[in-house]
Amino acid sequence: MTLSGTRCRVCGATRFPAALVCVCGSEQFDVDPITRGCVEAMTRPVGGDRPLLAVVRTEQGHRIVARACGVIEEGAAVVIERRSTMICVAHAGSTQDEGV
Amino acid sequence: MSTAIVGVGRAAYTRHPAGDVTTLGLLAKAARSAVADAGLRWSDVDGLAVASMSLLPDHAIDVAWHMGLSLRWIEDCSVGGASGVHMLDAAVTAIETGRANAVVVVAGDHFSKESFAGHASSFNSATRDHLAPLEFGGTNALFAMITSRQMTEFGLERSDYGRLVVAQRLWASRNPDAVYRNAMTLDDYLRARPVAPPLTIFDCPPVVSGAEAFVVVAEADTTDRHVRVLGASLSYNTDNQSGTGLNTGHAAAAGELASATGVSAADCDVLSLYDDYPAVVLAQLVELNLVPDDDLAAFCRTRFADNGFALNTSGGQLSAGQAGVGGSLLGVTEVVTQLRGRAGARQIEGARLGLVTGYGMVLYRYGAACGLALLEAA
Repeated sequence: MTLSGTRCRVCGATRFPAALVCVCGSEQFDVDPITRGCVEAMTRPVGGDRPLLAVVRTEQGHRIVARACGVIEEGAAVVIERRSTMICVAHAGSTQDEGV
Repeated sequence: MSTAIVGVGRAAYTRHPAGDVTTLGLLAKAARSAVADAGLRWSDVDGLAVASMSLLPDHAIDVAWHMGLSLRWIEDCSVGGASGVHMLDAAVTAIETGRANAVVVVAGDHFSKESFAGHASSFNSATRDHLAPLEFGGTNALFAMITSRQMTEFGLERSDYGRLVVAQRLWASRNPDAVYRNAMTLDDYLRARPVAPPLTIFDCPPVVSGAEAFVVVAEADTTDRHVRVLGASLSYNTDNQSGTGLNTGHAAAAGELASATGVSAADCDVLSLYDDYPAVVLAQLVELNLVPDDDLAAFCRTRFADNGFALNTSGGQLSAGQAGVGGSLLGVTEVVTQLRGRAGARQIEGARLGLVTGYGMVLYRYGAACGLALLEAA
């Protein structure tokens, strides 16, 4: 599934999570697909089988928190998708899902 | 009209609360001791502000009732770690506008293991919808990533954070109310158990049950040594969660406060900077223009040794303990204690001006509520 934010029809500002009212005051939005970005930081909490988490700077300039599906590193270009309720990122161009 | 803080109180912090401890009980204890410290009668109190994350289903008005307070002004505060500064500012306004004559501000928490874990995943709708499904485990992971970003931007090493943490532990060793007072070396810090790299257990405040409170009145109503409130400035949702998290929002608020009072952080003798994580303390130092050339590495390596810098002199939440949102008042009560000359073994001699910050409400990736207050010995 595609992760989506909002794009304001009046001023063009993009937001994730979706905005209810734009900073410009508009309530008119288009759905804005969020599909590509770059890994800014990562951490894997300690204890048991914990996921690798990343802050990803999206093409639109948002920063989102995602779970790594596969090997990523700081600075990596990634593709972003929503799997059920989870936001996942994987190396752009990778064909294999090496598990979450 | 100027206002003053005339009393502080607390419910002692504990890591192992007895079975009959309740949040209501802790708040009542802290409020009662603050009013006693202020030398006021219980019936003098006509304003109340409460912040607590473990009070539901009760609210401030329940607290008033259970404490036998009939009031003209009341506030429920929900801005997390900024609550102390927010409530101080609100209490000042209440007194200045004649809504109340004596306001008690109180905050504290008592979590069971279950309630604390549930708290992290359902903190707000954005956390519930976008973070909890990742099994992110709480704010430690978020601030771990902010810390690593800060390390890159400022050329910091783990030992730089360690110098701050060790300094706060050294302050705590001189504070009988701190929960962690035993000596910590830089080596102890560097070998601490990791929590979410680069953060370790010593980068996260110990959760305690407890509460803090203070009393605000008009300065004209004071009869003794007190602490004058020079001003406060707050900012909420400064950047719509669009930044890295390193710009905490304090810079603009500090500028506004300096314009209003003529006093800035650099003029202060003692500082309490909100310390949910060391990175947040360091970020505030930069935002408050306390770091020459923004060279945080040099600052950490030269200023913290031997408690040479009067920052978080209670030990801060990192060593004194974090009583939930009570931690948002810890900085206020410590600066007040210093300015009243009652800080005992950790007293900053001649402390005349103090600054307190608040920071809290991690809406998605970092805190969205921040503020600061300036206090003066009088």
